[in-house]
Amino acid sequence: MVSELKERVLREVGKVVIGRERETELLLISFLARGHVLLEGVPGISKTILAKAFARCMGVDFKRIQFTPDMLPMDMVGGFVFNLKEREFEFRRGPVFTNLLLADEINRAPPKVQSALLESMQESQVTVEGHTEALPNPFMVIATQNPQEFQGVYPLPENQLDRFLMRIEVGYPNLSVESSVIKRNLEDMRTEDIDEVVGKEELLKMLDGVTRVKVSDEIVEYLSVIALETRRESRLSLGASPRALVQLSHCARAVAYLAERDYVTPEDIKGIVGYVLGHRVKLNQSAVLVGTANDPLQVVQDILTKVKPPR
Amino acid sequence: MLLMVDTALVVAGAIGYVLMKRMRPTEPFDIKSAYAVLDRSITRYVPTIGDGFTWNEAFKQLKEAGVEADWKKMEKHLSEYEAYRYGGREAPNNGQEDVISLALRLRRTLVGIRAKGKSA
Repeated sequence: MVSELKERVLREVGKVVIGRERETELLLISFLARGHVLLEGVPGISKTILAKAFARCMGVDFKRIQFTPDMLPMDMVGGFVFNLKEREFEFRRGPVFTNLLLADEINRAPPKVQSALLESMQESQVTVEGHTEALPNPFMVIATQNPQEFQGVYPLPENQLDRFLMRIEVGYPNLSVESSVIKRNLEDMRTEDIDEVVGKEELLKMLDGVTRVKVSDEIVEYLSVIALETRRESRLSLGASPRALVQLSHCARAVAYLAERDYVTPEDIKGIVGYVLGHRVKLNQSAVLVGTANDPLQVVQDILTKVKPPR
Repeated sequence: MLLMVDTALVVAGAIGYVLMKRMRPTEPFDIKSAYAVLDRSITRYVPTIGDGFTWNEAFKQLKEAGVEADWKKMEKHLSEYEAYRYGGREAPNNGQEDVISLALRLRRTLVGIRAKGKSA
């Protein structure tokens, strides 16, 4: 049962990360939709531990890269080194060759490194000096960034942001959750305590199952109208891209699959559209100045209240 | 006298015809038409909901507004309807009456609620 599996994942992650059920669920949805996630939030709110815990319970190969301003693309993708024994250059794989890559503080890396991630994220492959190598299947990037930092950071450009299936804003926990976090940390708490709840074979079966979920023509039309409205909206200077729509449909399939349905409903789309489109649309600066808009997510929500879904 | 009788007969005939037309049993609703009636009813009596509502959102609002219905049954009907509507399954052949009855109930309940100062 898929829903039971989802519960298992939530339970295992919940052993070390408290009060992040929705974020965990969104990570699972993105993973099944073969998308990448940007976790955004201030330091110390368990973004990194959430990603580590998620990777551990999914039972996939996991690597972490701490992005820094002096990083080079080859630190991530790998490069050619001279093998003295064989007297030839050989490709040494970088940490990007994994199933789940945690790109910690991605906005601290220079644009050259960020764009090196583009090919990996978009095409699941790496090309170095004409040599192309495929990345393991499945491949997912969970990147984190602190939106409050302005010094020593390189904000992700729109084309890089568009590669992320979802942006999840991780906020401060509420009072009761925060107390539980403190209590839990007074005890011995380790990500090693998390059990693998999904086997590799089961995981591949699930990924295949998602592709069988039906998206009816009317739902496709609904998606197109949403995109069109984001492009027409006067409060936005940048609307949703066709790639965003494709990713939104994959995401909705994953949502339906986790709900044990083999078809997508408008509800599936409305539940995740903010996470998928929120970072892809851009507010019109004049709308911000005159105070008609200051949150792109709110604009997307306003559009959704106007666009009639197939009923 | 004869003229009066004639007039009475014509008037009675006309009234009878109108009543017969109005009381003629309606065509049985198919499930899609039943939901279309409910859609119109929701749009009319819950104007704050906006055009973009989904069925689950509408049901949630109606429940909160105190509209009485067997909601478990309605949700079951809805999942069957959605399987037909979005999943290409065969159209369910039951549930129309409950959907229509909910649509009719909206007017009574929501108009009453508004009169008491609550909003849907």
